[in-house]
Amino acid sequence: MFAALHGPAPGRFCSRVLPRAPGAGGSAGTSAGTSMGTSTGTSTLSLCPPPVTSDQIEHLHRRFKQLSRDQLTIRKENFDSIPDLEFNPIRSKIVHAFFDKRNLRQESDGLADEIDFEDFLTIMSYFRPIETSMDEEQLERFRRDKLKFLFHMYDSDRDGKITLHEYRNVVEELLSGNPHLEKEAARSIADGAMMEAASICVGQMGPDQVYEGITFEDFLKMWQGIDIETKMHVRFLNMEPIGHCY
Amino acid sequence: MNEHQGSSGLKALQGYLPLLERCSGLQADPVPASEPLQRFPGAEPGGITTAPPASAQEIEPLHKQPGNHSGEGAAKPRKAFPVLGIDYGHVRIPFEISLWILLACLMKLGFHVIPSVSNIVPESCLLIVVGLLVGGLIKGVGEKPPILRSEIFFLFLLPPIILDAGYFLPLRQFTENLGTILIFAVVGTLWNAFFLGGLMYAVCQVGGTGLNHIGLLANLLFGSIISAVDPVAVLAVFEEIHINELLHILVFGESLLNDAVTVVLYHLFEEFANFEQVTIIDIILGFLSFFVVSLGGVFVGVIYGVIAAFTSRFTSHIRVIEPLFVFLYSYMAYLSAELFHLSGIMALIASGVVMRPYVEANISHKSHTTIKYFLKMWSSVSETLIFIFLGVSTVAGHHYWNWTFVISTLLFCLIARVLGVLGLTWFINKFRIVKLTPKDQFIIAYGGLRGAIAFSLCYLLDYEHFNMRDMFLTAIITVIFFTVFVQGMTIRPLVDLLAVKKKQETKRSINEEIHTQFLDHLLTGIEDICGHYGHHHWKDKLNRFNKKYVKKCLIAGERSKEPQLIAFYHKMEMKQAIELVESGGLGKIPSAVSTVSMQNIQPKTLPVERALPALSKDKEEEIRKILRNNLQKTRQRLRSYNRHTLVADPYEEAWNQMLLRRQKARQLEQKINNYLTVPAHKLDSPTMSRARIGSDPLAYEPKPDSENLPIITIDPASPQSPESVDLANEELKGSSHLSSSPEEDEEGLVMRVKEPSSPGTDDVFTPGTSDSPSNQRMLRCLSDPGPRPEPEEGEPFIPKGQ
Repeated sequence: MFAALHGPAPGRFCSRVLPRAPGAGGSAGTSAGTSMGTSTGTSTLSLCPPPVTSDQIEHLHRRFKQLSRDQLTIRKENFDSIPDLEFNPIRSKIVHAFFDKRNLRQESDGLADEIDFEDFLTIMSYFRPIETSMDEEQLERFRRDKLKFLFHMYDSDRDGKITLHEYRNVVEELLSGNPHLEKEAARSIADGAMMEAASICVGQMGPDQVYEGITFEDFLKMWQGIDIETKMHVRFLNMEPIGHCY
Repeated sequence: MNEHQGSSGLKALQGYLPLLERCSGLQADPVPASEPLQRFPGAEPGGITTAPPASAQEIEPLHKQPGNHSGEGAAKPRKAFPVLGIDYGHVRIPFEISLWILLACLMKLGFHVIPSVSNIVPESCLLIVVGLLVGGLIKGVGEKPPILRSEIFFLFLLPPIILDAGYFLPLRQFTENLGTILIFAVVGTLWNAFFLGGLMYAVCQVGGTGLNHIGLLANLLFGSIISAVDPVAVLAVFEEIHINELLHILVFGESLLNDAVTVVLYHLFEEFANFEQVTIIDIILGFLSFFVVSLGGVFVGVIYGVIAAFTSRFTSHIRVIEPLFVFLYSYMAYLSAELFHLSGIMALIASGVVMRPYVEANISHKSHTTIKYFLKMWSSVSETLIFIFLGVSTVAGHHYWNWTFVISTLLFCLIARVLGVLGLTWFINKFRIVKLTPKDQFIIAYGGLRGAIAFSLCYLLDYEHFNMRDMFLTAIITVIFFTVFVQGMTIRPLVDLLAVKKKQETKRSINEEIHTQFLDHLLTGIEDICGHYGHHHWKDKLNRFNKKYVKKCLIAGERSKEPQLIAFYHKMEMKQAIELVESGGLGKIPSAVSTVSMQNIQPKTLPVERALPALSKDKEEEIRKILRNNLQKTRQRLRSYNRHTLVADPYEEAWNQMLLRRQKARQLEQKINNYLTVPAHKLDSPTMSRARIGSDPLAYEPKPDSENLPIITIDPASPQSPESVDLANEELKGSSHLSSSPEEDEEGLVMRVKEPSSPGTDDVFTPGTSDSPSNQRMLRCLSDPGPRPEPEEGEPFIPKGQ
């Protein structure tokens, strides 16, 4: 099922970043091993290097159990127990991303109520660091995957476009850490950014033309200047890799 | 003996300054050697001052009383009051310093006039060559060329360069790669010093009679001097090759931070060389002193940085001295650190880094520009002088050339660098997320340029204790020249050849800022969810602490509470406004906003826009009246202000106009909205309204192909031309037309009939397509009146009365 996604099908990207390394599942030896494993086709594995090593999976699984209070799944409320997350201005967006089915690469849309460890790992695998062994194509896909994840965080109504309203929301949230929040300022920043985006992505526009929102392609364009592949990773996910790509 | 620097400097300048030519011609005057001071001044009045030569002849006797004409002076009982006297000794030092700086600047200027040269050869190489030539000339005249004195180098020439580097340090990259940089700077430099020192000792042992007396400590001292990568040389070369930010910060950061190691090793071995015996305690103390020197330097820098930030909190009433505080506190930090033999470079960088965010929030925009320009100016002049003096000193110094020593130094230097980089990257790559590729390693190794710091340190050595100083100097100069010339010249082709990633020329956009912040928060959040306290977590903690406490203390007023995003946005807006003004008017908006307006991205406002043309004629007329009145008032007020201000700063004025106009436009927008009684979207954000009114019509300019547009010149005072505004570029075009065609010049004050033109645009707001004059007028009403860069030229705005 997933292998099919790796074809040149337009619009879909290889988004299966594979939290499960073939060696990792076995060597982890924890109960996590049961949820990971053999379900994935080997063709995908050959394309995507193992993102997470057994040590990391073990660590993540401990954390998962801690968060879920030894349940098999995590619900939204479980994230409330993380004290540091409280101050995060985009907290709700982050939590949302974990339950967003688009990120979980399920065929269906919408929000999941609860996620299991496999899903948790899937989300985490978006934050893998770059690897030197990647070739151009893999790198490009790697980049797209990460950006897709970000895009989904911006695009809260799942229509494939970041509309002005959504963008304003994002900026307002970013500024929400500030006690003296000026809605006006947030709006004008979002407006300015949106205009900039429109001019970058479309260029000259007549007054009749309407720029409805930032599509994913536009989003890619805007991120061209930032090396996302070297930025969007969590250090924890870069312990010495043990597993190798088969 | 220095007085001849100046005259020889002048000689070198002959090609550039014809004015000075006479001066050096006059210098050939036979003057007794007993009066070296008089010789140059004798030439002075003819050359520099415009005093007539006759008077110069007259004066000379007066001044040279003890000399040739002393008999005449003695005969007179009373000296006549000297109408014009010469006292070169009085001005000598500043005069010569100025001449040297002038030479340096002219050289810099000269290199940029001939771009083909500077494309191949780095500026630093050219400057050294110039220095060699000047030194040779001075020597050729039979004088002793000046040497780059270590005190001058460390106290005056080096600090500006380091401050410039520290103040504008790309902090984000720097902190993200701090571990790598530190390892290169500390371990790498130590490795280089000991590897080189040890091997050189071996060479000295077997190298023959001339070298046998050089002991291990002297060799280690030599190694520690030569091993440090030089920030000045690295900056000079790396600025030109535009390499990607990672490599740049790695090499440059290393060159900055290795200062502490160099200082410690230098003092350590210098001391040890005098000791009878070096005990283990000495070594431990030396090790300890490394931490004291580096951390102490940083500590001093941070203290001064905080004081500077705190001071700038109160400068809002005396804006002019704001930049001075930045310079003074930084310099004080440097001097204080040097006072205790701490690392002055670390102190400067720390103070620059610490003070910058707070100072920038406190000081005015102009002061910020001043700081920027002054730092750039000082650092580039210092850099130029350093390289020139390096050349001059090479000619001037005593040299002792020992083939074995020099060649093995050069060889081991290169080997040590390569081995060090390879070994350390192998180690670092285990921990790095973004691995350093072999290409990167090559560039890092190859970028290890040596420079004037090594030279000055060696020059500082006491000849009493180190009688092999001349040989050291020769070897160091050879290494410097090799790295600067060979490596500096070949690094650019190599970068191209290896296809090393270059720096991307990106304008920092608001989108990028939003995304970056979003990403930061996201990563912090993910780290928190993972339960892993990493980089982002601590950064977030630090940020929060900064926002909560530090900013409140160090930043005055409301700005302390301003989130970064808003501050950034304001800065960007300001920059756009300035760009707008600088680009010569509002004709073309350079920013990204130019081509797209709010109505493009928010379709719901479209009805408002559509409603405009559908208005009845009289209503439209009314709106226009309001608009016109308002804009005219603005214009008139500013005009009068302009006329009565003697030193009107066109820059600031234009910019103030911009802001005023923006404000006006915003109010007008509100009025129109009310007037049209369109309930929706009355609460547009400021940008929106500004964008619609302020930039909308401007975006739809006639395309460039409509060059032959008729000039619209409008007289604001004449009743038949109600609009007091026009587009600035039209007016610029107009002025160029005016100069070319005299018959148009005569009609300058009359409004001309607009002809339909620019058929290419399908835009309602383009004046070309819409023939109806009302539409055009609408456009012009809405558009901002352009600033007047040259009021004399802009006849349309000068009232008829003049």
